[in-house]
Amino acid sequence: MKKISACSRKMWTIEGLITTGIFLAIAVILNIFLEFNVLWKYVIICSIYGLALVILLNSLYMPKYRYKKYRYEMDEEKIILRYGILNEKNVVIPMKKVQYVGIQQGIILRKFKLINLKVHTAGGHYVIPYLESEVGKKAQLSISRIVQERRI
Amino acid sequence: MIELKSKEENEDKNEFEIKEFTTSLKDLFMMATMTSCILVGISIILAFGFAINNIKIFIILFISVIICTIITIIKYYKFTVIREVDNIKLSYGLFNKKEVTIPVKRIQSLIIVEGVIRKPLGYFTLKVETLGYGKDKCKSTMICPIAKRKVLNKFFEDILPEMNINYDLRTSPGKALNGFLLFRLLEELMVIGLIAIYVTYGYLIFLLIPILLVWHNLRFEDNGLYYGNDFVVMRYRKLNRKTVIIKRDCIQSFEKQQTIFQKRKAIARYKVTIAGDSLGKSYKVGYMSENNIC
Repeated sequence: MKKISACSRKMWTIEGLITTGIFLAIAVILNIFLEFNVLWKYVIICSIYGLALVILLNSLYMPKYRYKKYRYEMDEEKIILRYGILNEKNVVIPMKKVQYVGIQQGIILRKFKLINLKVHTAGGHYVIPYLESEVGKKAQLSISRIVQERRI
Repeated sequence: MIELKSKEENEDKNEFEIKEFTTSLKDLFMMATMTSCILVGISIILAFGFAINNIKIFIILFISVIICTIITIIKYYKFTVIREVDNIKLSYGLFNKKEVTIPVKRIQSLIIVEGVIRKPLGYFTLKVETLGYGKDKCKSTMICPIAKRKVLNKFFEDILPEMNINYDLRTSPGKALNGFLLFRLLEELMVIGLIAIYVTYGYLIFLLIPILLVWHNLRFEDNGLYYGNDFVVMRYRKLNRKTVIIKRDCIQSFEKQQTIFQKRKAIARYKVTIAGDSLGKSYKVGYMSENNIC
């Protein structure tokens, strides 16, 4: 089983921080602009603050373990994905059913030279996140070659 | 009862024997009354809720039941299934006649639905998931609105010999029962608690708990999974008991999921996705022993 890039730990932390920021902003805006003074208002705002806190802690402490658990494997017959800390998932995608493979790269990902590999089947898609760009592009090529050979 | 009429007239073009099933009027009537049972329940609740006069309630009930029955009978009047070489043809309806053709190659999975009321009476419904194009990629079509359990084998042999397989389902192991009950009841206890607090006489709802326990036990016993070379069979119950027979070639992805607690007991939850709309159509069976597959 192969591992994803070690930079994924940083990426998860950054993502978590960004979502925390968004949640905090929402909470602050609600605090200022909500006019009515009922108990419900405080319940909602406090729960948003709590959620932000949980996401923050999650993004600071969990990426280590998440990185340890994240594995993937490809061969000519199937793609295997294995991930999750509390809730372990084990996904098998038969190569026959892969329709196409896409690559995603945002601004932050480009800075770290990482890519997300998106495997599309007729029933939804699966993402293999944070591969080093060379590895990812090689994987994409190899999968697309298998898919093409099958079509012919 | 479904009657078997194998037409003896052999056509010159294809020597394939055309086989046919017709749902009888009596069965349709049963189905109609069963569907209207739900309506009766709803109207009873409504009637008690709004406390209308007694006579009015009965009149409304009676009329609604009759209308519901008639509508169902008109809709599914003379439901006929005909098997041709590689097509299944359906035709039904009294005034508005409908004809549907399903290519057998496109069938992804078959679902046997046994409802809460229907199962004890020995009835079932058959549905078929087919692969399509465009917006409705995954279409589910009813190929048998109602039939007796006895006829199931005959039906398989005549209409769908491809799906006629022998399988022995493995049921959930007993050690998974505690977890199953715990997680189901946690959700329901929250709702029950809220109702008990806010509604007058709400505490009466605690009487529901033993009923729920029995119900969940029943659900647990109905879980089943079979993984063969050509087919995957799953059985589960949410409200209706569903037995899903999936062609293995049609499986888009296969997923095993287990929490850390389940890992200790070697229990897992399996999920099979077949082609569907953007999210895909998936069937799940939880609390199975882990060494079943893979």
